[in-house]
Amino acid sequence: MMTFIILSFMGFFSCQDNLVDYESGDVKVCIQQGDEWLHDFPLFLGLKKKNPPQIAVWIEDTDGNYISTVYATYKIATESWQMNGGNRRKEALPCWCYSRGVRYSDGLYLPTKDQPLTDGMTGATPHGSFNVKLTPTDKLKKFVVKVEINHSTDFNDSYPKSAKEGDANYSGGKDGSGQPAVVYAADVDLTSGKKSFEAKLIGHSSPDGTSGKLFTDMSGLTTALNIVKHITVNIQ
Amino acid sequence: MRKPILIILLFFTLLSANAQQKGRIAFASDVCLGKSVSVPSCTPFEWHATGLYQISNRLSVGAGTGVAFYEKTLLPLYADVRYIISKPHFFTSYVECQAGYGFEFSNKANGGVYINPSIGVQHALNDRLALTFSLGYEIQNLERLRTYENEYYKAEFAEKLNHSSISFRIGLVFN
Repeated sequence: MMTFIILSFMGFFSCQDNLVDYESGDVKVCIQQGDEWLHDFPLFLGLKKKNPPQIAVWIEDTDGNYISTVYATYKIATESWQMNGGNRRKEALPCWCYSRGVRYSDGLYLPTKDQPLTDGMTGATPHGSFNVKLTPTDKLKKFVVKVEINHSTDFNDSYPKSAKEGDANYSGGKDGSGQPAVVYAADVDLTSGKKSFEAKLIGHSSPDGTSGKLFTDMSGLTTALNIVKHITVNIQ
Repeated sequence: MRKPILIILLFFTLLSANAQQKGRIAFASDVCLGKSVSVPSCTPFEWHATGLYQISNRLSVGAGTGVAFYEKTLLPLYADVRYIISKPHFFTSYVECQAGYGFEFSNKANGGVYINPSIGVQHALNDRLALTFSLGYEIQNLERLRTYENEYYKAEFAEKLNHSSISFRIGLVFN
């Protein structure tokens, strides 16, 4: 019986393949989780669950023109929110939504259930650090990798649940964001010979999601600043 | 691919060796439908075959395998513990827990941990055959490769899926 158990465990672990292989010249976008990666989301009767953040990764040219989405979490990409009280959550990742510039039938820039984001760009929300591999073509030499990250119900004193619609710190009500999404950017130049590009925090998004504007005053943000520890773009 | 098959063969070898102890071995086979409670959601459909060895009047342990259809087709291999919680009646109730691993054999996915605690009832159709119904909570993890390509790049990432579902099983136990 012991042999059976040992063989079973050997079998379990030997069957795990590395799904993503990197070759020379590939670009690895590494998002390293911070202390606030998982956030308490209220369920009912005081019960809470640990929720990972919503994330979008996209590429712009050096003039700020949107090129393409690389990755977006499944919930925002397919409008699969749970317990959101009907809120479409336009405040979740507005910078990405407006950069993309696709307006849907309800006037919002958020993908819908009927018109979700392209399947290959979407993934289940990662519960920890994760990587995305890019194999650039000749058309991509200098570009900006942008990452927008947001927790729902991440309220603090500056962005309280009690804020009213129209207030500067209104973030979608009791099921909204609380602290707005934070945006990181890395300027990547594949011709420079550099092997690593660190993404910098460049601002936060519109708290209520009514625009794609970037706000550089980060004074009201607390835990949202620790959702990620580092974002780096490494050239293999 | 070879190791899981070897493990399954080993399991059935062990089981057939024990089958000499007539009356203590039972085989169970069931089909399962799930109601997903996770996002992304996926409704699983499964068939399981389990060999059980009766340790006492109430407690049986064993192992099983089968096939599970999620986004990918998985081959689960699991240990099984079943405990009868009531005296034999028209319906005899039991609790059961299956725990193991769902294997996936393509090169664009990995299987993951499989756990399914459940509560059920069994109804004896005759001395050797019983019908079972159970309700459980199933966890099945898996990982798959996602790719997207346009004129600027090809993107790839590994998506980890943690599926949770309410499982409904109907099956037969052959004593």
